[in-house]
Amino acid sequence: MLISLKDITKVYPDGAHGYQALKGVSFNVEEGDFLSIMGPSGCGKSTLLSILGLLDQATSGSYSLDGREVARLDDSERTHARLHKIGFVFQSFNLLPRFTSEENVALPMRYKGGQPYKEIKARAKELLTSVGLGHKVHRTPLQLSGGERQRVAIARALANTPRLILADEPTGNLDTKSSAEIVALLKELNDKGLALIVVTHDPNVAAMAKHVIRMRDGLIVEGAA
Amino acid sequence: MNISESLRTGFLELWSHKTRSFLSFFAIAIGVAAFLYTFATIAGMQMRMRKAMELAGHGRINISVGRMRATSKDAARSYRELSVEDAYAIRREFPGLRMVSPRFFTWNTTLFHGPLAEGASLAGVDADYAKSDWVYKLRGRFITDADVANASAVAVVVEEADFPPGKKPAWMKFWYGAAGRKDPVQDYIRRTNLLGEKIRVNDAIFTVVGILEKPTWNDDPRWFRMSYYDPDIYIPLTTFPRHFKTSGLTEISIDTGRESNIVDMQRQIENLLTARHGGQNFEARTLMDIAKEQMANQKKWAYTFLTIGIVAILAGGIGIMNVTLATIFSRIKEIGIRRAIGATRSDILLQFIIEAMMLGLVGGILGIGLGIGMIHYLSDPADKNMRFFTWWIPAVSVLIAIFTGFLFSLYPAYKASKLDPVEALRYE
Repeated sequence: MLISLKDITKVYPDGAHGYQALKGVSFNVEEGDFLSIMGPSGCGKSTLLSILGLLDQATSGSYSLDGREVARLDDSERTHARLHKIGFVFQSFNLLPRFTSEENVALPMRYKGGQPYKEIKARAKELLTSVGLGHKVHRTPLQLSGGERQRVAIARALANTPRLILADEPTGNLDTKSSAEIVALLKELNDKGLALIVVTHDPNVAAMAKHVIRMRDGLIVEGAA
Repeated sequence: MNISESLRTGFLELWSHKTRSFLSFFAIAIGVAAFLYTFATIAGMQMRMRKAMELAGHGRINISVGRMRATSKDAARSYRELSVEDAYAIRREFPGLRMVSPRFFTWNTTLFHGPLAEGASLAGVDADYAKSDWVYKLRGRFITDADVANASAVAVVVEEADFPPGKKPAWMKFWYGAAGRKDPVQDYIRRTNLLGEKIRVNDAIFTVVGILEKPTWNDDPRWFRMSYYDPDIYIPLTTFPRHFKTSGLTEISIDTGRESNIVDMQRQIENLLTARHGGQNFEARTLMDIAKEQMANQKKWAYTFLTIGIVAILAGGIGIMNVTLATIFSRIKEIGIRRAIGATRSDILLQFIIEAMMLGLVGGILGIGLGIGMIHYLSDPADKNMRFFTWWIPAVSVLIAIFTGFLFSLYPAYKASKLDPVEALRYE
């Protein structure tokens, strides 16, 4: 079991009683799983993804990642887990604009350290080639199309060979053709055994998933409970 | 996370905000320049003092009429001027002294020769004068014992070397303008060969028996002069009071010949003069005393510069803090991204501190350039070879600049490292 969530709640200290974004969410994700989370905006799916990605902490409930209870980890341990186990893919790509594709992909490896930069560069190039961008390693994000940027972001997410990719609307800013390419790429990764959790509105993405969860008002209304 | 990554990011960041970066390291540069100038000046001052001491001899004592003449009614009543006889008494009593040079001095004379009628300074000395810090090249002869014995009407004229055309030092042009200092007497002496000529000083006629060629100001090593008096004309000691009003000797300059007995000699000479005067109404100061006094003055001035330096560096530091804070606000999103892909808090902290230290480094290097320019253009004579300019002075200045960057970026960098990754990612 890669992920096990039990009764996760999240309350933002907003107003007198706070705003409850998650009201008790439970599900499991196996190694190599492909889970798609759907639902209207404001349903809590982005909050859930932040908690899954160890960027945010649940107010209550239990979250165990790879057998470890996340609530007990301190900031640097959570960062460590993020660095080694999780790759992020965002709707707006979130690449560093002044860095080349290669440098963007290299960044997580540099944070991880313990590897000479030459090797890091070679691995970055390899990853970019695997997402079909081997010829654009020295371009900056501004010189790339939306689909290409998302592929750079995926290569970056793969840099430290994570067990899990978390994607937040990965096709949300892309045209149909690019979307199809990205979805195909994600599917390919999942076929190789990588666990995938994708928050999406895109039915094409959901169609590929092994499981689909639908959420509303901070609760799971359909799918694995 | 390695340092080279931070350095690279830092460089990109500074490079993409050139104006902002320039403004913040410019103040640092000014501060470093001021530091450098001060360090170099103090170091140069010490070197010149050593040189001056070597030239003057370490056994020098200067006796002049005390500034606190009437400390008591007794002293006031017993006050007598420093007389030629005092000097002779010292000579008689302490035959071992290498030099006892009594000196009259006045600024207020007019030198006439041909068309020249200009104010000139005049000293009455005897042959012992030549034993003092002698920087001259002599044409003809100097004042002799015979001149003094006969109170002859002879004069030795000082000719100060001029700078070769175009070689006027930059600092002199800066302080005095391109034309340099106006000195009509020296200009005239340079143009006219006065050796053997008759000159008139006020109402007295003298025959010029010698010309003393003095090096340019730049090459004159007598920085700490035993006396402040550097006349245009020398005449025999005994001739002086016959033609010019005096209130006694201006000073008696003594050389004991070596350093070891100077304090003892100073006390003995003081005792002798106190006995002769019936009270201590004079000052006997060693070269060390004078040098210390001059050093104290120089130091005051050096502290002024140092203060400017500190203020400028503080301003630079605040500038760096401001820039770092501004940088953080414009890079909240970036911080979020870096945190999401696995940067720790200390990675973020380090990144911003390194950037600020780079600002300090660039400012420091710029400041060294500025400081060397300042030393070259504004500094005093005889320093341009910068032999005193040891490697550690710029090194320390740059370290101070880098440290400033470090210190003033701590708070902003800490703030950046404490940003919540989720909020930072959401920030547009």
